[in-house]
Amino acid sequence: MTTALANATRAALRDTQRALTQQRRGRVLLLTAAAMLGAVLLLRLLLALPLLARTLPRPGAGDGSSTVVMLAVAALSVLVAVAVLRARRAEWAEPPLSRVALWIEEQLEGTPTHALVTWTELAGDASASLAPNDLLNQAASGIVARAADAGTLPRALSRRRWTLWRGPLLFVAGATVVLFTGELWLRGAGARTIRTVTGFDGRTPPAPASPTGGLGRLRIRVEAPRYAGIPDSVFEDVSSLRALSGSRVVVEGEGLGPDATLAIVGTDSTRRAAPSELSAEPVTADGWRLRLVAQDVPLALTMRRGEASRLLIVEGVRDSLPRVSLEAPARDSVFREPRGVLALEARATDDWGVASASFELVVSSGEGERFTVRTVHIGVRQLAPTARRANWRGTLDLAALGLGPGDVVHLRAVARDAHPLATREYGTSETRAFRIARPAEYDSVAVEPAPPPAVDSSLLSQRMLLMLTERLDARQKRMARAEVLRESLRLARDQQKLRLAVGDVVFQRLSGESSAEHAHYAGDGHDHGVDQQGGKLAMSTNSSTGMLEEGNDSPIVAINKPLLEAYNAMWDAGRALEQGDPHAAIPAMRRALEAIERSRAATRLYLRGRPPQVIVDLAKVRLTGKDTGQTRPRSSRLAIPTVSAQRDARLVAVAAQLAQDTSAAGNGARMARDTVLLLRAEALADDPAFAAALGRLLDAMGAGGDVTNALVAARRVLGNVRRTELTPWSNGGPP
Amino acid sequence: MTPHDHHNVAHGGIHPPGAQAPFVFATAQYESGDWDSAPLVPANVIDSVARYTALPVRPQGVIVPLSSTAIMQYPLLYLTGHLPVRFTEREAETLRRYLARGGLLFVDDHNHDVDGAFNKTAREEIRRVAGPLVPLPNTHELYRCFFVFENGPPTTSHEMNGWGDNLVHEHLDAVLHEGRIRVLFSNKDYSSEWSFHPDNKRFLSVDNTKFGVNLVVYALTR
Amino acid sequence: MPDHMPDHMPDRTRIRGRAVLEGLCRLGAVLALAAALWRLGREQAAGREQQAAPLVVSAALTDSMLAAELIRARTAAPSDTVSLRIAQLPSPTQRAMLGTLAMSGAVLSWQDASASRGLAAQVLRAAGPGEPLHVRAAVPRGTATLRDAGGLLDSLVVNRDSLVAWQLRAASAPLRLETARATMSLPMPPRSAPRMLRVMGEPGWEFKFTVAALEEAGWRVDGAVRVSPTARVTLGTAAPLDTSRHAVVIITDSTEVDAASLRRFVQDGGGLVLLGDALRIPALAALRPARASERHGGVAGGLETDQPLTGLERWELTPLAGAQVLQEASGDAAAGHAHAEPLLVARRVGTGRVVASAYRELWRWRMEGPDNGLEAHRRWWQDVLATAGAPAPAAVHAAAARSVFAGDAAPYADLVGRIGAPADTVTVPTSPSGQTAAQVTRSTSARTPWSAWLGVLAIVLLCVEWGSRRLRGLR
Repeated sequence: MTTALANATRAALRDTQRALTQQRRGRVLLLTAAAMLGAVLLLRLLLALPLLARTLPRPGAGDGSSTVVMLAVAALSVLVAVAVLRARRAEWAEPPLSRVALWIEEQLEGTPTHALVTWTELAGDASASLAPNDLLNQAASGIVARAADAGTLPRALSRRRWTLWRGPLLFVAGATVVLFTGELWLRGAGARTIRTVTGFDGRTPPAPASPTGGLGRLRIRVEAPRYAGIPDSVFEDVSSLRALSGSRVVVEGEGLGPDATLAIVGTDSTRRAAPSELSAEPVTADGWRLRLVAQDVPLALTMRRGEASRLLIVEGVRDSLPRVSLEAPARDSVFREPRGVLALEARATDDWGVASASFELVVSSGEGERFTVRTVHIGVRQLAPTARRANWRGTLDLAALGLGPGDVVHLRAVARDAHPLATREYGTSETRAFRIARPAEYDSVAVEPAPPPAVDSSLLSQRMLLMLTERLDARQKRMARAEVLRESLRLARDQQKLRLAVGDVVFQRLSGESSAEHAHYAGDGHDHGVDQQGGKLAMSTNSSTGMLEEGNDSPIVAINKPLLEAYNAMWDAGRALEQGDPHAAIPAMRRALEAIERSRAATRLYLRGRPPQVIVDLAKVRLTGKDTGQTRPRSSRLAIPTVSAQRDARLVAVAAQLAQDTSAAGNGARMARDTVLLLRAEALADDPAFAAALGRLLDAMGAGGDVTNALVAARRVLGNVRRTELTPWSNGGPP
Repeated sequence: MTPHDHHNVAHGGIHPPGAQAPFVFATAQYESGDWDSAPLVPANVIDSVARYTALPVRPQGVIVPLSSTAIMQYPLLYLTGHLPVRFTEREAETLRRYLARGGLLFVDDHNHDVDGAFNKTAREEIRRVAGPLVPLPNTHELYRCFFVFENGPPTTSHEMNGWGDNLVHEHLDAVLHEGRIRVLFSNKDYSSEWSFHPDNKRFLSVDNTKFGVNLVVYALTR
Repeated sequence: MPDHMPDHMPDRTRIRGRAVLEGLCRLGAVLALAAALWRLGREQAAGREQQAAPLVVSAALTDSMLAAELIRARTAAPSDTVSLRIAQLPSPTQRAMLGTLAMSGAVLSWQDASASRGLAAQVLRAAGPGEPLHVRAAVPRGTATLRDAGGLLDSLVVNRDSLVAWQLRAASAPLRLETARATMSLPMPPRSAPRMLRVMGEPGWEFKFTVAALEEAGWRVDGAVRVSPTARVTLGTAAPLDTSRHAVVIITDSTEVDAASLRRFVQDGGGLVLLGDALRIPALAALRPARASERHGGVAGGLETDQPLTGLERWELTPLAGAQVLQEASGDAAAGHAHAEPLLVARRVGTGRVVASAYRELWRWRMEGPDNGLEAHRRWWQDVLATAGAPAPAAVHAAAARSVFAGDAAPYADLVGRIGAPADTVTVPTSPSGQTAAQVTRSTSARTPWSAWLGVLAIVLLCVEWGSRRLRGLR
């Protein structure tokens, strides 16, 4: 047999083999796809079963869990695909040539002679060792020719392909169709998104547009005031936006101009019309345009055209004043002579920018009835308008101010922000007062306003005593007992001196006099409101025995409790030291020190020019007046309005509207949304928690699905329901 | 009367002793100026209250620092001075809370000068703490709650004495909250008017401290 | 000839294991299907059972329909027992019909399917501004849910049969109380004419701030204080003390009072609140619920803590006979005392109540207390007034000529009286009586669709089995 014939036969066999392999592999792939789709379909069916059976609440379409579910489904289908591929890997391989030959023979009519098979086994490979005989060659090629001639082979191949691929292909197609229609059905009509824009600095992207309410698409441009430096923002379809007070808001739309009304939303659900704030431009071919200016209070813009209406809430955010703090000088002072230079330093922060900063001085001089005042600004500087923080310094030269004895200088730092209003308030810091002392005041006690009168500096301070005691305690093991005792007694004497000085201060304050004239002490027979018990001092308790109006002859001027505590602690320390036990004295001394520090920080009491003490003799003057009063009525106070009950009723109405009209685009749903928007604008000022809950309710309404949870949560925030305990005595409330 | 005399403070036999806490006249002490410029006013007002009413009252006033929460114990507070008034942050915060809870602050310009330092600075501070001051109508309850003052706040002899602004102020100003006075601001210099020893009242033909009684009765009953 | 032959022969054990698994799957699927069919059958039977039930008296059955049915049953089989299944308590006419039937000699047998399991509730309006609703209910163990027209109001879980109560500042009809087995719709009592308070005392901070707190809460207050022998300050109109006008009288200080009119007022149903100092009025010795002996100072600095009441001065109260202590200070808060100190003591006098509070100078809570002291002071007064004052009296309706059937006050008892006890005697509490009788229905318990789930399980098992076989190469 010629080689050509053999080659032709071989080639034909190879072609057929390729075709068959292709078919098999195609089938495997289709089976894999079918398995994947089948898995996805089954899972989707399982997940949708609760919806069908209505035993569980509908999952909201906005669940974050849907992406997780989708990933899980995808992962599972991939696993299934891999499993199927592995299982079918046998089918992936090429069928051997002999089988191909057998298959070809079977496609022909009549009983197969198996000649081609035999030929293939012998000479199918080009490198076969056995050469078939001529008869076999002819028979084989004859078979091949017959197969190719009548078109039997191609037909058979295509028939086989159809048979192999039919099942999985149909399944794949069917599953795809089922999945697709199922998704569409489950999701329902496309939800309209009405986003509430919460950031107002223009960085949030505009919400996706979807026309609602029949007014067509709206375009809203917000132009912030120039001084704030915010770029203009454009929003497509929002129902509520926040803007800096003073921003210009431009609303544009297509078609005929709607009837627009602007109202200021008050917290008590009143609405004051503000028509002057709204200006409508004449309708052009491009459409209509409305302009309004955002204010400190929320504004509600209602646009109506025929039956369609839209509501837009503009929340104005107030520009707050700068916050200023005076860093240096840190305290008030009294000067003997008006000489000296003070370094001044201040800083300010503002939400939109500090424009100018300075120090303000008010110099008052005079006495009695005549006082003159002048105001001086120093260190004025202008700042870049968008500087949110500012630091500035200055110097104050007292000599340059021309001060005399008795003059007072009040210093504070002042900062203005960039708001253009001329009469706007400015931010101020705390005030420091500097006095020039009069010569007559040099001798009186405690002229300074700031720290409490210091005890005589010749006395060892408590801190020093503590240090010495600690040192003694550390050394006492190495010292003889007699020496320890001696040192300890010396410390005890110093502690006692300090304690007596503190006691002087306590009683001096109580009597309002310096201790030079009359010394007051704990047992002097006057009721100071302070008892001495066993050496320590205690406040009189408020029991019936100690009421201060009985026999009280000295005013209680802000009794400095920390100083009493210091006195008592010093007493404890003194006693321990007297017994030669420095170790026990240390905690008491620490307590005393801490109490003195506290008293320094607590009172800034100064007793200047001791006021005369006049005590009225009530018994003598009671009801001796010539005139008498008359019986007069008292006007009653206004009740604090409780809006929570009305707000609750409005939310219930919203729930009823939503229940009646479940479609997202229906009239009822739109009215419900508008009601909630207005309610939120009202609650912004006095109930921000409720306003936040309403914002969440609006988001839930916009996303579609069930809003019951958000509604219930909003009602709960109002706090109208309170659980109470029941007792036989409760009649409507707990005792 | 020296501070060391002992007085038996009875209440005129109308109430058993210790039954009810008496009214205490409190003077506010603030950091920035001369808060103690009218030390005789408390005694004078207390004396008038004892003369005309049966209200239990403590015979001596107290001085409370404005920055301490002790002012909450005295729901009527008196503040005066000549020098500029500047509240520290703590004073402003305490005063704000005090007024919100129901306290009444009576501020009197001892300069009686609308261009003076006290008036301008005190008004500014009060505006920051409590709100704007509005003129109090002369038909307000304050002028009728005990004695009747037909023409509003009684004139003081100091208003036209040559110092100050030489104006007769026909209205007092107040910060009102739903009809109730929270801050009462007077430019009429009652501090000077009432700065005399109460024993000298017998020499006056007309007692000019009656308005103080109205103020105390208003604070205690409204 | 198979399209493909496996290229390798798997080992025997694996084949056997797979075969066992497939067999189990098939068995499981068959069992699941059988169970599903069985459940379906049972549900059918239950349904059929209901259909074959005798005459059901429910909301859908009107009087004329019941009459027709009874006549038909009696004429068709006069000697048979008339069996009824009462799903809802019948109306008065229906009860009368059934009673007549029983009296005429017919034998009636009925099943009680109407009982609610131990649910009783009452709605009152507290006397006060805004008239908040006070709902109290006796609920069985489980979940109790309160709903109104706007949705869920509150839901709580109780571990045992207990009493629960709510105070609602705002609610929209219809109010419903739901437990696992029963739903009850609660009537909303109508609002009545609001009444005033009378405050008596001495002029001072306590009087001023008490009246301020009450007026800010919305009450109308009247009264008078004496400032001088000739001058008084009056509040509101000087109407004489009467329970139709005044709800509660509050006495803040030790002052002169007209004890006789107060006693009359309290006995007629009014409330009286005595603050600490008012307990010292000698004229009220007969009315007061406790004696105040000595004063205890408050904890220094207590007003600024989160328990500001510990910083207030208190009287030591000794409850008198017939009085009950409503609130006590815990032992350690009362510094040094081992026993608890009474803070609030109450006593019934006639039809009214007298409540005594141990505190003095409550105004310090508002002025010196923490920032929420304003609100808390007001709320304390609301609660005390709610205890002292009677709830708002329900409006009296004069019904136009309407035939009132005997037994309307207790419909269940009336039914039993007419036709005897039910066949399956289940003791049930009587439904709440009153003109506005609540309707009690039993909701169907939530049924889990077992048959559906079993069917799904069967499908899944079959799929697994088929897949396993196919993967092995078998058909």
